[in-house]
Amino acid sequence: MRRRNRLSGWDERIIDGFLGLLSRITEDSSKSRDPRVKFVGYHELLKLLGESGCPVCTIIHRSLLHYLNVVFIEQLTAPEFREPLQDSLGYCPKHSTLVRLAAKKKLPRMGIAVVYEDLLEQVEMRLEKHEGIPIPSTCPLCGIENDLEEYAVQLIADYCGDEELQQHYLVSDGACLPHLRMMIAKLEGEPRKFLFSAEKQILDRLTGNLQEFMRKQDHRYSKDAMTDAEASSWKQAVHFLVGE
Amino acid sequence: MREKFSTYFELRDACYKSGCPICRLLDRRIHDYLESLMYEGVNATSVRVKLRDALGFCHTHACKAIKLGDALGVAIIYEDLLQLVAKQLGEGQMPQQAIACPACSLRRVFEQSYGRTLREFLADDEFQQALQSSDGLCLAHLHQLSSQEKTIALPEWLITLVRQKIQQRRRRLAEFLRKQDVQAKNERLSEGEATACEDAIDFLVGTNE
Repeated sequence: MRRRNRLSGWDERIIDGFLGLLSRITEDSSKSRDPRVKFVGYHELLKLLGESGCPVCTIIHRSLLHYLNVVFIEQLTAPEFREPLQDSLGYCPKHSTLVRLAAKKKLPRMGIAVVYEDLLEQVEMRLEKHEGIPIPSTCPLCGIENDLEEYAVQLIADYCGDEELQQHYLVSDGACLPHLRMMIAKLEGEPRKFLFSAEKQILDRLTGNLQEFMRKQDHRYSKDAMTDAEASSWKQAVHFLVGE
Repeated sequence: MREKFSTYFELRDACYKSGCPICRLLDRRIHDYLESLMYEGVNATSVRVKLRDALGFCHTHACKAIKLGDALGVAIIYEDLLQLVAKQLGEGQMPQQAIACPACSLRRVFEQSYGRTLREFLADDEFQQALQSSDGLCLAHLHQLSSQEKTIALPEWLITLVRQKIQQRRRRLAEFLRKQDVQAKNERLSEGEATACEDAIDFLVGTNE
């Protein structure tokens, strides 16, 4: 059965321009890809495994931030953007954090000011008409995030049996626990076993760094040099459990 | 109306500071909770058992714990959690949360308490005066207040107050936009105009992220 696609063609074009690989979101994601066929998404994934943090979280975060930068600068008057926002009265608390981040730059900030002035006007008008305190509908970014998450999780699950990916995965920071849970649910057999054992190894390495970090807080060992991995291990431990 | 008690005075005083008074108090409460947990509760058995059951804090409160900057406190708590998770992964099991984030549970309790107190003293002159001089409640807490008022609609003065606060915010946004124009390049942004975007977002969703 074809999965219902929450991303409209309009939303998808904006994100696609950034990653160049998300057009595959519209494909039937319940069907696994042939792991022998390595497309641009696979190579992007290998690159992400070389960076710090959960690759799924990174794909979501970067894509959404890119999306916000584009819509608040270039698509300010697009009805596809403004109409859902008027119903949802802006974004949910989680995604409003991203809007605050986008607002740090001058150009999106001007767009944000235009859009939020309009949203405040909507609320004021409803209050004026005695329609009560308006209730926001679902945040438009939540739907987009769900699709991006599904895409990225499926991408890793599809190539989990690939030797090259396994090598990259073992030396990476691995996936965070919420995304690991989603990947495990999609896998069976050897790839599932690999993911359990790889994450255990990654976790043991992180725990070792954390223990070294704690040991070096003791005044007796405070002169021992601390590696970057040890210094950031306490934040990494938190992000492993809840995502980035 | 009941005799005024500490929660009332907390709410009244928060009205004279910036932002939604309930959001401000909740942020303060959670900050104090996390700070005292990191400072003196890291090795308390009851705290650790709860955190183990919840697999640590939720995303929002975990990020707040990081922002506090008590690296050793966070490291002690999370080293234990990582070992627990690693053990289960080693056995081929996915770790599951047994209870909700303790900070979220605490926040809910305080949110209800502040909401109740606000409703109780809404007719009080001193409190009305304090609310008039505040930035007003955020939309989420206004909605909570109106859904608690099952039989009576929100008083007209409160609706008027909310509209006035929205108009102030819109004026600041409009001024911010006007001053982006090259013709106004020599005009400086006031403090309120410089933070007008963040303020508008805070009004619509509150500050719990």
